[in-house]
Parts: sequence; C-alpha cells; structure tokens
Amino acid sequence: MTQTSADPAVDLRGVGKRFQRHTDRRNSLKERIVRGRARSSEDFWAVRDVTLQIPKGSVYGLIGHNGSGKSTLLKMIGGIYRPSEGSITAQGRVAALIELGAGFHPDMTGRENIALNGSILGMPRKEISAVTEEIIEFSGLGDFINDPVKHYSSGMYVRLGFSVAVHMKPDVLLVDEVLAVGDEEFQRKCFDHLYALRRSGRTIIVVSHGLGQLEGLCDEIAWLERGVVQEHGTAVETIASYLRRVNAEESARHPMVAAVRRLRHDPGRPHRVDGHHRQPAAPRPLPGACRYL
Amino acid sequence: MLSDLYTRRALVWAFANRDFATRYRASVLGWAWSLIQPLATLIVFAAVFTVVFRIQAPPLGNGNGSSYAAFLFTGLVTWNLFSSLLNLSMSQLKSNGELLKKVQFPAWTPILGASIVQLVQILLELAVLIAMFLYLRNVGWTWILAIPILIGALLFSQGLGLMLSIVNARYGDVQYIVAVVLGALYFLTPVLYPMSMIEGKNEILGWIIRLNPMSWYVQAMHDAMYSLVAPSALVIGGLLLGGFLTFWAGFAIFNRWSEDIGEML
Repeated sequence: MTQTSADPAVDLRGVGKRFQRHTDRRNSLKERIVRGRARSSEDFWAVRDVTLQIPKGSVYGLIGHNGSGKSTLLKMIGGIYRPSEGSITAQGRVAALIELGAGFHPDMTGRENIALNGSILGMPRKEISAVTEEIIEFSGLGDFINDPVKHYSSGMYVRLGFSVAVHMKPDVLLVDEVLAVGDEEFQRKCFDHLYALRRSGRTIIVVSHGLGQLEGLCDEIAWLERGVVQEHGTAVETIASYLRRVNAEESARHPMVAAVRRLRHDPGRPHRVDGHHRQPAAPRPLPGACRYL
Repeated sequence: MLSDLYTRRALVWAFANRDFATRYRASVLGWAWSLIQPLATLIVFAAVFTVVFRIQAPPLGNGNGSSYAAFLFTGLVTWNLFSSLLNLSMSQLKSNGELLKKVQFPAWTPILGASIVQLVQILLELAVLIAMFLYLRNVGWTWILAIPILIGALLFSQGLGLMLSIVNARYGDVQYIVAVVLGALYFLTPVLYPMSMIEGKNEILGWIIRLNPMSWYVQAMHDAMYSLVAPSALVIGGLLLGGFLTFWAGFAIFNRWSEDIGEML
C-alpha cells in the first residue's frame, strides 16, 4: 500500500513536533526570574515519528480528529514551525493556502491586496503584475476589486485569497480546510483549478474534515491519530478504515444513536461479527457533500 | 546579511506600501497630522521652557543671538527618529502576528517596511527644521555632516528596535520596561536643555548623560545644524560605526531568535 516515489515532492522522515504545555506561558520576565529555567511544564508531542513520501504531482489528503496534528504537520511543511525532530525536504516553492485572507489589509482595495498577498507568498513583483488580471478574472469579483476588502463578504474574501494562492503557481500547495467556503460554483472552479495544477505536475496537500470531498479529490490520504500516522494509502481505503474506527468508537459510546444512524444509512445490511467485537459494517463510499450523517 | 536584505527588498517594499497607503487613510488631514503633532509639541515645550523655566539656548552659529525653539526642534527631530523607530518596531510583530503564524516569511520585513514609512515622516520634520534655520539665516556647510549623523542614528535605532522587538515577542514585559526607560532617557538626553547647563555643575549627571548613546547623536546634530560647528571626525566616525554595529547585532539577534516566531506570537 505504501507508494514510494523515487522523487517525492515532500519527503518527511521521522518528523515530530514537541510543544510545551503551559498553564500560563512563561513569557513574562517575572516568571522567568522566579522559576528560572527549570521545566515545570510537561512536553507534548503534537506530531510524532511521521514518515511519509508525498509523490510529485499528486493530491495528498490528511485526515484525523481535531487535534490529531494535521495542521501542525502542514505548518511544518510550510516552514512556519520547525520540526523538533526528523527532517522535511520539499522540492520547489511551497505556498500555503492556510486560512485565506490572512494577508489582507482591510483598508486596502482588492487589487492592492493582490500585490501585497503575492509578495508575502513570495512571488516576484513582475510575476504578480503579469497575473493580476488573471487573478481578478478568476476571483469573479469584477468591479469590487477596487473596493476596500473590509466591505467584502467572507465568500469574496476567500475567492480572492484562493485566486492569489493558486496563481502564484507553487510547486507544493498546502490547503487547510478552506475548500468548504465559497458558493457551489466557485468551489467547482477551485476543484477544476486544483486538478489543472496537478496535471501540470504540481503537488497539493489538503487537510480537511470533508471526507466526501477528499475522496473525490485525493490520490492518497494519511490518517493521523494523536500525532501519529495510523494508516496511509489510497484515498478510498484510508477513508474506509477511518470511518470504520469512527463508527466503532461512536457505537461504543452511544449504542442507540449509532444503531439509528446505521439504520438510516443502510437499513438492510446486517452486522458483521469480527472476532469477539461487534463492529458496524463498512460504510459505503459517501455521497458528495455528506460527512458522517 | 546584506544579501538577505537585498533579496527580500520587494517584500519590505510591499509592507512599506501597505503602511504608507493605510497610515492616514481614514483621516481628513492625512499627512498633515505627521507635522501637526511635532509642531504642537514644539510650541508647547518652547513656551513652557522659555517662559517658566527660562532656559537659555546657546548662541546660533550665525552669531545672531539664539533661538530656543530651533535648538529644541533640532533635538526633538533626532529624538523622535530614535523613539518612533523603537516603538514602531516593537509593535510590528504583534500587529502582523496573524500573518506570521500562517505564512512563512522573514519577520523583519514588516518592521523595516514600517520604518521606511516612518522615514518619510522624519524627512518631513527635517524639512521643517531646515525651513526654520533658513528663516533664521543660520546656514552652514556643516549641515552636510547631518547626513552621516542621521544615518548612524537610523541604523542605531533600527538595530535596537529589531533587538527589542524580538525580545518583546518572547517576554511581553519588555515593551513596558522600554516605555519607562524611554521616558527617563528623554530627560537624560540634551534635547530640552543644552549640555552647557550640566557640564561643570553636576559631574555625575554629566557622566550619566554621556553614557547615553542618544546624547551623542543629539549633540552632534546640535553642533552641525544649530551651532554650525563641525563635530570631530572621530565623533562622526564613532556615531556611524556605532550605528552599523548596532544594526548588525540587532539583525543577527533578531534572526537567531525569530526562527520560532510562528509559535511565540
């Protein structure tokens, strides 16, 4: 199942990230002086021992519960966090599409923000002016591009941010849970564009809870659990085992709810007995927009 | 280090553009405010210190009496350069925090961008100062020496600003300490009074003032712009070298400490 590419776009080897858990962060001098350097805080590994080869030109998904380390891993790939152990090698320009619009200044117009956002993402100025019209066209903002972005709706914000990020033609594009925003039409446009990017040999790494979306989009998926890779492989298989686990945990906690839910999903299917555990049947591939219910 | 500064100049410039475009966007008088503020300070101080405290300014370089207002403004411009760069640098990491947590780029770029915009303000104040001296007919070749002095002061302030901003990102107390120290340092710099009022009268205070690097920059500016006396080459060289060294140290410390900036903010 492990697909090792000879020349991966991103090569993660034994990557771990340790955070210190503070009841209150020791960033005041008083704390520092009173308690000195002694570590009273305990260490906490948000990501541990992750070894993954993300093939060039693929769409790679990261799934897992909240707090499983997906976003931390993405931030390390994007260079915002340094790994505490292990190494990350990425080929070419890495651009993050993490929480779009972070680089927008509310008082500046959309057009001015394109220039700013592009420079922050590392695009040379000539390149920015070359693609500005294309970005505006893609965002579909029309005349609003000359209005201050503080008057934009959240959807308009996302559209502009997405347009900038994908037009800077990164070699590796990091997408953190942003595809769910924007209307149906723009979403489809985004997907088309992501596919086009992939066709041109670029790599896309997506973090999302939208399993249906991921299943359609990704070639491979890694499932993280408490910072550790639980399983990785083809999108369909990984999502299936992830759902199996989620459903099993849920039935253990709320047997009645789970039973009802199962009935609603596929009333006709019998339970399968695996060993001495009663497990719910493997779910069918989910329909497009559906998550767990 | 210089190559870093060069390769990232586009980003520094983009931040400067942003700050320039938005600085006074919501105000009616716009850039006029950047002159109204220091001029108001000047008028108030000049009134209080000549009328209430009766401070006598040293003689002007042209020999036509003295002007406390001109003396004060020379010092104020130099001091403002220092304190504004310091404060601006320290606030930049916080105000760009959301960005620094999400996108990877060198954290000093928004700081230098903001400083470039502040440079415009400094130049405006200098223009007013020059106009003032032209009105007083106090002009001399020593004015040229203000250029190396100010470059030294800029580098010194920016270096210190970079250093303090990154320490402040880790220890939030630093900004309060800096506010207190700046308040005291203001009076330990010969801005409001000439050094001649201290020298020979209070040796200990004199030494304290001389230990303050900003005193040297302010005094050199007084010499070159107001008294039309050339500071010694040693002083000018020292001020330039001090500026370069402080900037170099500040930049190096900043880069060393800002590797984990995404987690610190």
